[in-house]
Amino acid sequence: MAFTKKVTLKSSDGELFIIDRAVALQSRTIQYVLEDTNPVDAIIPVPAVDARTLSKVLEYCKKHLIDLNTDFEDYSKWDKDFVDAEVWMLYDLIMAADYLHIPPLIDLICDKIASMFKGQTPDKIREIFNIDNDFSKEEEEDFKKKSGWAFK
Amino acid sequence: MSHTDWSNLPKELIELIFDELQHAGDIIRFGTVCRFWHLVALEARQQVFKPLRPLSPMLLLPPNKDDEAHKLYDFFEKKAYKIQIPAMRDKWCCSSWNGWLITINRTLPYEICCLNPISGVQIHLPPAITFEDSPPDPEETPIEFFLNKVVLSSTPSPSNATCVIMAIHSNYNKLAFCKPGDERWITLKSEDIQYKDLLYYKDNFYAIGRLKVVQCDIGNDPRVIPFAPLPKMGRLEHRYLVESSDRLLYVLRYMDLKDKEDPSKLRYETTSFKVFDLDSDKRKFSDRYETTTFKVYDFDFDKKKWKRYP
Repeated sequence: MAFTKKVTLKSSDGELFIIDRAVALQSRTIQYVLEDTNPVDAIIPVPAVDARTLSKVLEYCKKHLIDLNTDFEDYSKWDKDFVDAEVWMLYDLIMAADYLHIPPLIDLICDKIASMFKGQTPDKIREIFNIDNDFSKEEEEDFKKKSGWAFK
Repeated sequence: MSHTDWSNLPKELIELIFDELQHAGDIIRFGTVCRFWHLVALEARQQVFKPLRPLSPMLLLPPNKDDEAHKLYDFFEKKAYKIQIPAMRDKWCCSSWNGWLITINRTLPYEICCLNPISGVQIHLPPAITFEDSPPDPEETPIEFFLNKVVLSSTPSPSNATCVIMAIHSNYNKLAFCKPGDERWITLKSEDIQYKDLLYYKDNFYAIGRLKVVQCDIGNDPRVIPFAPLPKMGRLEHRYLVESSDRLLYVLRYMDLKDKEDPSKLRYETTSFKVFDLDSDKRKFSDRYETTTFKVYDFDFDKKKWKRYP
């Protein structure tokens, strides 16, 4: 009964998550661990992801496993709500999705972040994403000279 | 609460985010956020083998007489920006392809370039005098009429050896092609002349001949190959090849005199469209193509509004 098999994941802050093997298999990283070592009832550590983020990622994996037959619109609505999150949460999520290697989740978050750039000035983007401006005044002037239309 | 520093995001992830941007303005601004992102944007621009993604369309409007600046009309923001394109000086823009302009210089040897007005990158192609049918005396036919339509197979760059540029050219509207770095244009052998439109579709160039659509063979013996007969239609129409939802469509735009009382004015207006769908296996155009995904709009500049054709 392969499908009812459970897998235990351990977050960086020590919390245990007991989930269906099929849910865990959506992460290619975990898939490789399971294929390589085939641990029976063993705990798989996920040292790069904390409990709060891991539970959110697993929520995504569960939804996308169960609802494979849901029609496209329902699905995209759920996805849209899922990434309607604070910027720091998106950061943690994309780092976790990258570490766990879940391509559809990575795409979903990238799409969300790109949509937050729409029509924003570089200053506003730096503010939203907490990024230091490491360009000199001259370089900034140069951008405006070359492609001034994009900064109006 | 932002304890996170997004400039620390791994490069692959920043590249993926960059790839989702759909507006030229967003793409430029992305590269000016920080040095790291600037590098990502710069490298992405050089990766010409990436499949093209559709960007939101913008219209490039010619400069006023007293003003050297072009205007870029943004359909998304519904406004026009002034854009300086120094490389356009003394040149005529004869065609555009996926954000690139194909320009021809007004003086001998009539240099031809692919120019990206956003990035300023220019790719030089063989000049117009290297066509087998080189431009006639400009007193006879102005150089602005020499290149009728130019289509590219992929993003041009000196390192992209797979990029092919096909042109409908000369008074006879013949077909010729070249690659960046070539010394001359090569005319395709063809019994037919007066090609109307040109399209790159699924790894081949197609053109509209008088009675048929032809495929362009750019192998050792460059020539046109008959592909599918065209549906017979009336006069006074413009003909186009269009790709939509992976289909090759043949579009007819019917024209009629705008001012019937005074035909000497020769002012025409579009009256209707007809769309045919190509069955590539049977090599036949179907009857009227019915779809909800293909629509024709006319842009009214005064009202800044799109009008949908029925």
